Amino acid sequence: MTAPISARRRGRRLHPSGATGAALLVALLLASLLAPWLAPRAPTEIDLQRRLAPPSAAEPLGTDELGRSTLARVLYGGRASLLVAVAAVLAAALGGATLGALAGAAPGRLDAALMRLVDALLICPPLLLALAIIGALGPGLWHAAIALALVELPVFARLTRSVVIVTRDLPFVEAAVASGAGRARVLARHVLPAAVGALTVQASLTAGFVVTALAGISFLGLGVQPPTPDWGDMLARARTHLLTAPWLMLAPGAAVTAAVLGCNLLGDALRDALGSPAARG
Amino acid sequence: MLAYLLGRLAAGAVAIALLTVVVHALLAATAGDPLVALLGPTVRQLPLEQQARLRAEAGLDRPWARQAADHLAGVLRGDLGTSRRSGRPVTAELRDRLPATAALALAALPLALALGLAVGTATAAAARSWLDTLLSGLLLVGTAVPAYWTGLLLVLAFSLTLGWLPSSGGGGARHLLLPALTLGLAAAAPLARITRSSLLDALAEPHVVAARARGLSGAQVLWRHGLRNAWVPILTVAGLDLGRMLGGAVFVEAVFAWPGVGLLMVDAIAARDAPLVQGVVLVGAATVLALSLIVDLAYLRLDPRVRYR
Repeated sequence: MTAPISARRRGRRLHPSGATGAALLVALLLASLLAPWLAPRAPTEIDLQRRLAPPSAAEPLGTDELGRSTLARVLYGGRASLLVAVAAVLAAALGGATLGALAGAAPGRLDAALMRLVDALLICPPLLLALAIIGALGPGLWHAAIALALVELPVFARLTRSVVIVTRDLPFVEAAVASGAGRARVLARHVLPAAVGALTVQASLTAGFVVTALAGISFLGLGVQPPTPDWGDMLARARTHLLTAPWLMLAPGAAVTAAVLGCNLLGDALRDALGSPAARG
Repeated sequence: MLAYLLGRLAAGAVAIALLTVVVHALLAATAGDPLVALLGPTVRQLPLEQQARLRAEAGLDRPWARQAADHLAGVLRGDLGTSRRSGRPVTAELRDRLPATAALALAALPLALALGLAVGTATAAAARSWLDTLLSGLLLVGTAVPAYWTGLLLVLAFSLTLGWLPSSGGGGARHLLLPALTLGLAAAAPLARITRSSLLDALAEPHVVAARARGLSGAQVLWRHGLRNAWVPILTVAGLDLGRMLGGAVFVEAVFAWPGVGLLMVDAIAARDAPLVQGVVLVGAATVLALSLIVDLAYLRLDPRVRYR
């Protein structure tokens, strides 16, 4: 259960580690957005003269089996691996909040039916369910993002519902109802804002899993399709050249780790500052 | 107690049944023409009447809800359908692959528990020292490292550079070591973090402070008052962890070509083998359900305050 965030707790300062996490994420996002200016050349440019070249001044991270620049591919890869993950988390949070608000505000039977559905989806390991959805939609980066959004949606639905149920009986909500505000207005203006803090915390904690899973799905060959650069796909390709070109797997793996670390640091600090959301399940 | 258990089982069964129907509907709605998936694209060249006859024979002309109900009834009888890829029963495919995944999980679990508890206890015992700072920092990074990257790093170090262990494939203990280490490390980091925080909570209780005041040594306090009270949250995370571990096993099996259920799932998706995909989801959900029941029962033994009605 989640208690609504009181004004006192809301004022608490963010732990410095949270700022570190946020800085890490901003740096990674900026690097992927500014890739055209930072990269030595285009990420898809093939140069068979320079296949599997070790790191050098011209190519700080070396080149892959097609002579493509690893630095360029890591920078551009952030777009697929990071921006798409952010989109998936936002979709899960918005969809889940809507569903949870409906369930919390709806009469008992609809609420119960929706929550049974949420329970059923939460019982399956999230990655396995995401893979099953990809099995239905077919491989692809956006299909993977949709799958991960659908898998995480129940967590947000449950969280929002618990906040709505606690908040809807509080005096200020009763006052709003008594003064003649409609149901939808009361829900949107008075009840849902109480869930924003918990949703933000959950979103940043979920983001870490989504980044790992999204790159992982590409690593399995079920996500991004070539030649689009992606961290997971780069790791899968690096696997065949581990001994001859070990540098190929260092940068993309470090990039995933840094992104997940950023999400976790930010999420932990937000949770301490804003209060803890209900645990999964 | 018994009523509680039966209630839990019933709720779990309902959830699994619902999950089965949802996943079935999803795959049926989107996976393209099931007849093509079943018999290959050449089936489209047959006359329409013959296509219709084949469809009826395969039971594909039934209304959607009917197909889902029939599938569910089959699941209850232990019939998970036939794999489209191999033509064998899904249960046979799963039975072939489950031992490898079970071996992987059973080898990784003690490793994760030992490492997680040891590092967690060490950081709690040395709280706010340089050792705590160092290990806690490592744990933060450890939680963030994806299992597929750990796997590649371990292969590079122990297989390719040192040549001690095989880098991939199924087989005996030597083949199992690196995958189990990868999975165990991934599960150990969150365990260590929860061990640290729940131990620190337990050690801050007044009765622990009193025990210290009576002159109990640090180790005695840690063991008798700390860990004993920290078990419940640790166990909760361990249970959740195992569920997540099942997901992570997919990546580990893919890195090491370990022939378990995770690799089967990846192959099934690539081949658009819907019955097989459904079978793996069912096994995953049933395992999570069983684990959460076991964790609930373990609470009873570990914490005398816990009562189920």
